[in-house]
Amino acid sequence: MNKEKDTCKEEVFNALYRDHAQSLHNFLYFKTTNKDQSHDIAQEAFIKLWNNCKKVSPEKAKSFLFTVANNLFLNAIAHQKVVLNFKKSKTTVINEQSPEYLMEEKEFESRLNKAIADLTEVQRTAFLLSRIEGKKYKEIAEILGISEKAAGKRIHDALEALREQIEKI
Amino acid sequence: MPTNMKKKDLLNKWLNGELTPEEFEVFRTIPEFSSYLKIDAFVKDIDLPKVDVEAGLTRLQERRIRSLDTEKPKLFTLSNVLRIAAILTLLLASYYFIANYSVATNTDLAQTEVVQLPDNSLVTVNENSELRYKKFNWGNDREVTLDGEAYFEVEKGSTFTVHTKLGSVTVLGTRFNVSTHQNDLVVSCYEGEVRVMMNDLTIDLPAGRMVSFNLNDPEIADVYLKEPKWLYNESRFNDTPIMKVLSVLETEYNLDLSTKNIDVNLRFTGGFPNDDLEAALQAVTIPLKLNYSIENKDDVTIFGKTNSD
Repeated sequence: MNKEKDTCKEEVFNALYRDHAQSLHNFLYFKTTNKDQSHDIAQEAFIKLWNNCKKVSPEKAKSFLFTVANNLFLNAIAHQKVVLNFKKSKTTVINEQSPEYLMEEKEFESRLNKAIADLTEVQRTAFLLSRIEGKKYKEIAEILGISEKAAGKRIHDALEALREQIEKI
Repeated sequence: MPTNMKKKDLLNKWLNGELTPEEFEVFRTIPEFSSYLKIDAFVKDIDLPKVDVEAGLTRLQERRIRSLDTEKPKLFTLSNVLRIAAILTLLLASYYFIANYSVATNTDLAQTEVVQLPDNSLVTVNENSELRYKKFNWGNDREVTLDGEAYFEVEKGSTFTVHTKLGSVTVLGTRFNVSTHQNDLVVSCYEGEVRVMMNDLTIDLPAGRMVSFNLNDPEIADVYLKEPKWLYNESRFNDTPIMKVLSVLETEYNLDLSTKNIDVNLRFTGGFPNDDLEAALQAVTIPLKLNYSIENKDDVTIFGKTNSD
């Protein structure tokens, strides 16, 4: 039963940080779409985990981190308007394409960016957790503290909303 | 062609990575498929900021060490000072407003009103009078301002003061009447003891006594009644010069009163009702052996008998 105090051990805590830092950052990035804010909130969440290490076992650490991060996000910046500029990571492939194709591609990119920004924060987070992180409904439901069915609905609705936006015109 | 239900099911399975190869063949036939795929491809390609885990961990450790020597939040930043100043200003303004907020009771001609003060003391305000008091801090500071006439039944407690423009009356708990009429201040004490102050004079008035000040010295007389007569809609006089009685009569009924052959040295003791002119005139004239005539409301004459025959 002394396992419950493990989170307070330096090496256990550091391992938790290495395990979850990236996914926590991603999660916050989906919410805030801002790199610096994501980092600040993620660090804050880990500080809170350390301060509560006696109460939170390593098994519970992940859900603790995501819950705390979500609350911090809600307190700090949920009201800010999202300005989104997601960029594609690889641009080399399309170099040989015609200028028209490049133009179209660029427009599609900006329209989709805007559409993603216009999603509600809960839809966007669930959708991006699913698509970018490749997480299953079950895991997403756990992170967001909602039912699997609700998670599926958010992702589904987000996709439909995006499709409607890019099929316009 | 898959139905809508089937479509939704397929889409969900696709999103959750549960499509079998056979199901995928069906899924790719639905018209939205290309849009889904395009969105998915774009989103999957989004460049996520890479976290430098080790650097973050180092910064975290630094912060943890720093937070050990307990950081005190800064109290006196400019914005805090401004906030405190704003709150204080607001408090001060509302205190000033509340402390000076006074309740006024005004009575018209032939109207009396009973006012209950915060400590349950009762004030009956006679006609044509004004009573003001502040509700704030009433328990420690029982003060009212009176212009006109009022009867007080004061509950026991701290000093109770009636301010008038002529002088003030101070009591602890008693029943008394205060009347200001032009330059007269008349205080009658029915129970307990009151202290009347006018100019430099201070008079302690026991129960059953009344004092009238005018420009001259104070006159002290007995009070025979348990309560002032006007409470029952009567005006009451005690050895009062006739002209003063007639002036009260005049204001009471809003008359234009004239006199003929009247001995101004006559004094009147008694009362008259405030709601019956005929009876009031009789009440004053008969004991003094005077006569009266009423032409109309604006022309009432009172005259001595000697001249009538």
